[in-house]
Amino acid sequence: MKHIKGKTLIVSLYVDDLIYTGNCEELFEEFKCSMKKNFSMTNLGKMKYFLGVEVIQNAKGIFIHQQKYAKEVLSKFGMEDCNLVCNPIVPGSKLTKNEGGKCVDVTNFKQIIGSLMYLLATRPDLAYSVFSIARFMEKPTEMIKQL
Amino acid sequence: MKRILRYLKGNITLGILYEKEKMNYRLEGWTDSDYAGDLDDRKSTSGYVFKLGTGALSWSSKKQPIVTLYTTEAEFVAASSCACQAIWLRRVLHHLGQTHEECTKLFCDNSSSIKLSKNPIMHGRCKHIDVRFHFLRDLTKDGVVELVHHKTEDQIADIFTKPLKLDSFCKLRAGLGICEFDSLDY
Repeated sequence: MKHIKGKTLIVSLYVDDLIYTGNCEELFEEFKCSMKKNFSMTNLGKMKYFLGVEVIQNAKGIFIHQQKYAKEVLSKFGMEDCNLVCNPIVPGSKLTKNEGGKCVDVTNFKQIIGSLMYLLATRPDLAYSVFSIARFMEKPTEMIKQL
Repeated sequence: MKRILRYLKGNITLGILYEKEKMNYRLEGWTDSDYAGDLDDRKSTSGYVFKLGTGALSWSSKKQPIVTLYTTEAEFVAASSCACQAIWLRRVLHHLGQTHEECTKLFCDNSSSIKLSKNPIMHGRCKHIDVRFHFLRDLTKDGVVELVHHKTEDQIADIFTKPLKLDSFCKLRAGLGICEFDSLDY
């Protein structure tokens, strides 16, 4: 982050991915040149894809989504051809521990929760339902999984 | 769990839209809580969301760490965690050159917690709400946040606290700025 007389340059870095924005073209050029001098890197232009989040920038505004990632999640857990529903959780339902229910594979359960959590970056509508089942991560039962 | 994946399959194209024309750079927060929603340990769930322009910027749905005795108390716990996030977001925005001089509005549908945040009264039912109580009241006094009443129907933080009926779910989802990719015209 750099401020010079009202001009701003913001750089965001994650391991080997780098994005930058700001309000001054000159600063952009200066930054690009200095980076290219020191590191070998390619300029991919306007941000379209960053850490699994797809970005569309147009005259109307900025749209962020994770369609590609969501498809990967569905195919990873064998749900590409499942039936569709309109809301992620049964209205008014309450989940309880169900002691004594048949246990399921904890690793698989955790993997699904983890993948869904990453999706929350652009899908707050899933937040409640994902976190309500994440509470059963310690001892997931067949009932929770099949819901 | 399978239902979530089924829902995802049916609504895979959804994403968040930050509209350019309606962008006002004003930070607004919504806070809500259910009451004793967990039947196993009777803790409540708090939810909050912050919007900048048309799109949701930051959100949370979290089971509260403590058992609360009254709905007002549960709402108050939710409001104070929302206020913490508000402080942080204000700081981030300040760093990005968007200083908020005015206080950040937090919309809440519980009028008694709003009154509690403004009026330094102490009575039997809230005697035990200690740290959070004073924290939120201090912030209100300093003009950092302000709790404002908002009717329950359009309370977009509701989506983070309870399983909603389909029509209200869709309405609140749209309120978060979530829409179809196709509805964008180029």
